[in-house]
Amino acid sequence: MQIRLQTNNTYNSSNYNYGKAKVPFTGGTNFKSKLFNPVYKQYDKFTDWIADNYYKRFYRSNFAKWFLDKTKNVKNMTTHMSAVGATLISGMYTIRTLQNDKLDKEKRKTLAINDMMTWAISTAGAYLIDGKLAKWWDGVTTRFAANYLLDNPKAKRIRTFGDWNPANLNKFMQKWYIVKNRRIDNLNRKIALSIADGTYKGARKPNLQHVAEQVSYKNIRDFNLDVLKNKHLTTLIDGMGVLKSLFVFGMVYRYVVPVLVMKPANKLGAYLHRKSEEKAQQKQN
Amino acid sequence: MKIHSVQYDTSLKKDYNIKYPSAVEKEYSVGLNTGYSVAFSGSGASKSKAAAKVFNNLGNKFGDKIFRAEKFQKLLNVFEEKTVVAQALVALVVAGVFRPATNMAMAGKKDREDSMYAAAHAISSAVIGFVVSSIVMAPFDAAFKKIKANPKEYLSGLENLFGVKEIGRRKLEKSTPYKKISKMAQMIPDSIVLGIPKAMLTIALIPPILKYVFGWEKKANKQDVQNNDFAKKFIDKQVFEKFQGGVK
Repeated sequence: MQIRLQTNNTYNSSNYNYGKAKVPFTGGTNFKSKLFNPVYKQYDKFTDWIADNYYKRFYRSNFAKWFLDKTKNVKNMTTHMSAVGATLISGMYTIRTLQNDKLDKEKRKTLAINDMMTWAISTAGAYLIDGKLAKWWDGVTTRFAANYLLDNPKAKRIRTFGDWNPANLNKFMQKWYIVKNRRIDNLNRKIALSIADGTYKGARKPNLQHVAEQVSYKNIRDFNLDVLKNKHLTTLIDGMGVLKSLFVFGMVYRYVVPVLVMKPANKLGAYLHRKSEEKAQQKQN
Repeated sequence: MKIHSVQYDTSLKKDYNIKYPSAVEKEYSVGLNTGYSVAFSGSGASKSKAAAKVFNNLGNKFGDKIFRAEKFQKLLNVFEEKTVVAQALVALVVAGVFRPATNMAMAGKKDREDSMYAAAHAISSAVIGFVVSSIVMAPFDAAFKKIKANPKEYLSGLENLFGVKEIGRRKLEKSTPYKKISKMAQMIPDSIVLGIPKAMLTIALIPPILKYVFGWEKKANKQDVQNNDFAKKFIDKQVFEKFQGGVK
């Protein structure tokens, strides 16, 4: 039997389980687990192999170095990877259309242009909407974090900061220098007291300087990493970002452009094609 | 019986014996629940910055209820930890529900059959995409979890690449290069390696799915149905199956 006690140091705890005490049951026999144990073991070995031979090699590859060096200003990879995936698939459709022998040359060309236009409109639209929503979504994510703190008071670090209302999370982030400076005042007072009574061991320098007013947080992710230090919340905040990007790209590529844009575009294409056919017939006559 | 050692985070308590009844709330007298009512006394802090927004009625609005739901938080976990599966899930909702619903809603009398075909096509491709991605990506996601859980074993020596002093979970979470390259590594197997085979499999499986699951087949050379779709008007069935506009 194992007893594992949960501490509030969530980043150092190797078995963080979102605040719930974890007492694994190991007694007795379980027919199912015995039956599937070899399968699980093999699967576990397989995932180890992937970790070693794919992820580890990828992180250490020259490509990773080159890529990070060339994309210092790029931040959100979810959007770019979605766009790359869509580009590959659209490219494949375009090539297959161009290679289709059952169509005459002109039709192939028209369809290929149609494919490429769909891809171009979708990609540009998805990036545009994703960018436009960024600021608003940051606010939504902060509200999400505030709700998380409402349900998980432990994550507010009450022992350090006192009890505070998550509804004021924005203020807490923006006026962080006030909290920081109060903590510095407190430190200075302690150091001064210990110097006065001769117990000061010189671990910290006396008269620590106040931080500037600029010491504030605009981003809940940074605030969580630096101040709240809650690992689960970091994952959830990252999940919110991925949710937004994937939803925007999914909607634009698979819904907005194909359904709402392509239908009128097809009608326009049909009209233009009819006109050109009429002209060709007139010429023949 | 084995008892693990208890780790108290003493660094947090060591230097601060005084508990602040939230310094910020005290200074700004906002949402006080500690009895303080001290008005703002800062010196021009608000001059350069816009006032921070207080979340009204936090926890009770419709959106808040969604945010607080355990299922929503589990979903967010999937989005971050299993991004490819999440991507396929979005496709399942958008291409499997929204798109067919709109196809049917926008269908006129003349192109009703074509819209049904397009709807079935979208549902089929979304389901196939989700199933294939979920199965193929499961071991990759499990392997990535191992990297995340034990970064020192897999990533030691890459401090410079990630711009961190030492390899550790929290330090890596703060590193943009690490986050970037991780997301790329997570999505490459599906988006780049699996993307094209998956699209081809989708195309190959659509006719039998239409026939056996939806129970009907599009007539190959129907002459009597007029439709306005430019693509369909001038091409044969086989090509149309490959072209719907957008990503499948």
